[in-house]
Amino acid sequence: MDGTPITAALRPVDSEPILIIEHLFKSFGDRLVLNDVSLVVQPGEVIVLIGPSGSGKSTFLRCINRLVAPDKGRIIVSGTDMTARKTNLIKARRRIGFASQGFNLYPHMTAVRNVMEGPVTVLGTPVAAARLEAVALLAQVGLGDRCDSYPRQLSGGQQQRVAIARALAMSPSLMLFDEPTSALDPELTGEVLDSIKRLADDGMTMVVVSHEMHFAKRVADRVVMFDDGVIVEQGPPRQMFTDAKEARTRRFLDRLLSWEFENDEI
Amino acid sequence: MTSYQFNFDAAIGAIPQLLAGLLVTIELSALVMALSLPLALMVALGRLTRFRLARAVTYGYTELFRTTPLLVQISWIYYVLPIALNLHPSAFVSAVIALTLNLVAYLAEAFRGSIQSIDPGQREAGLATGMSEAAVLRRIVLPQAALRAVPLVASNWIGLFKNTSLVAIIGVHEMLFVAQDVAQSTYRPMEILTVAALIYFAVTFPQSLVVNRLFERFRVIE
Repeated sequence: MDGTPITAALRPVDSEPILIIEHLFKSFGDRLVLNDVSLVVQPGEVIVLIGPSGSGKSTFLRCINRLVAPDKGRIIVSGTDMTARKTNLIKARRRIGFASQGFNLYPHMTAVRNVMEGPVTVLGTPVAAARLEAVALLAQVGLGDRCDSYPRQLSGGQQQRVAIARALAMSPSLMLFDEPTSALDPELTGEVLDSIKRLADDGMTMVVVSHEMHFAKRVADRVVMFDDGVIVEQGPPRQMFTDAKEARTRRFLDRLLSWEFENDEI
Repeated sequence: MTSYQFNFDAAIGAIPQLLAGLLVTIELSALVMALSLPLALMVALGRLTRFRLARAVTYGYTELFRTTPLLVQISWIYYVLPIALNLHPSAFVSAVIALTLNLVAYLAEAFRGSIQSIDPGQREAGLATGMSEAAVLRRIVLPQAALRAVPLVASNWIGLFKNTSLVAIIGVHEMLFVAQDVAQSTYRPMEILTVAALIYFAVTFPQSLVVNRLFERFRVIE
């Protein structure tokens, strides 16, 4: 459509990055939350953001789909400048999927209606077609039999999987996850992480804020460590977890891993 | 000491007239509520919009009508408005205007509270799927807020039902006006007002029970 040869899809390394973030700044009041953050994400890449709470990860994620307006800097998603004044944000958000720790399913709609809502209301997809698509997506996240359940009738893990299906219904080219399992009981995190992993295996580009280190090890192409509003360091998970260069990263991971270890023992 | 001799003959004889007055009370309440619901929604949205002027105007309006006595509002609209605007609405129309302006102020605050009680994550989720603010409001926020507003509307209805008695002061032939009228001609004000009060109670109490049920039924479960 834009004149790119079809073979470009077969050579992801040469293609345009899906996400380019340049020199992002954001303050809340006099608290500097993002202090000159830059990041480039290639198609198909899975980025896991880690770091202490309050380090700016969630704000960073919310800047990407402009739920939060940055003070300064540029954000380009699939070629669309999310920080340009003339960009229609409402339209631009369609192709950026988002799932947050609170699920935020619409409580007055069944699971399948939740998933259909975006396509029907935003894209004008006919209801019958949207329903078919929604049922397929729910089946994909293992909830084919819960289409007509209301959110309150679902467990947290099921709700989060519906939320993922809801985001996928808009055919996003980029998925953002903000601590998708942090509100879940431990025995429910697996089913959600499995769904996310399956997406990654299908080649979805994702930025995930998560403290699930096992997940990061298995799924991430790159782990990015945030602290105090800056990216402290980044690298492949193996290197980050065994051979981090920065003391701050090692300290953070030590705390996290020893905690995980203690909890494994119980 | 001679004690007052109650005699309910006149009051009981007046019951058909009182019930005719009750009919006016019900009509007035229903009309005012029907007008107030859409207006209150608009005022509530005005209070929540990002447009400063609309916020200021709706804020001023709701505060003005919630901080002055309804009786004053009714009298003002009946006696001052005709002179100020050179319009001469009937007592009934004046009553509808005054009660509506008053009820809208209270309902708007109830609606605003219901809308604001919806988790901001709901709006975030809608926006994140590419919905406009208007679509989020229409599809996500208002359907949930409406349920939370149901018991508030119902309790405002009961308040309205009783408040209609205040328009007797401008001569609307609702139940209290009828009661006072009959009382004057029969010299039995105590008995007639007692019967009128009992009729108010008989009609309002069941509604109050319904309101309590509604509060139970629509209790917010987070």
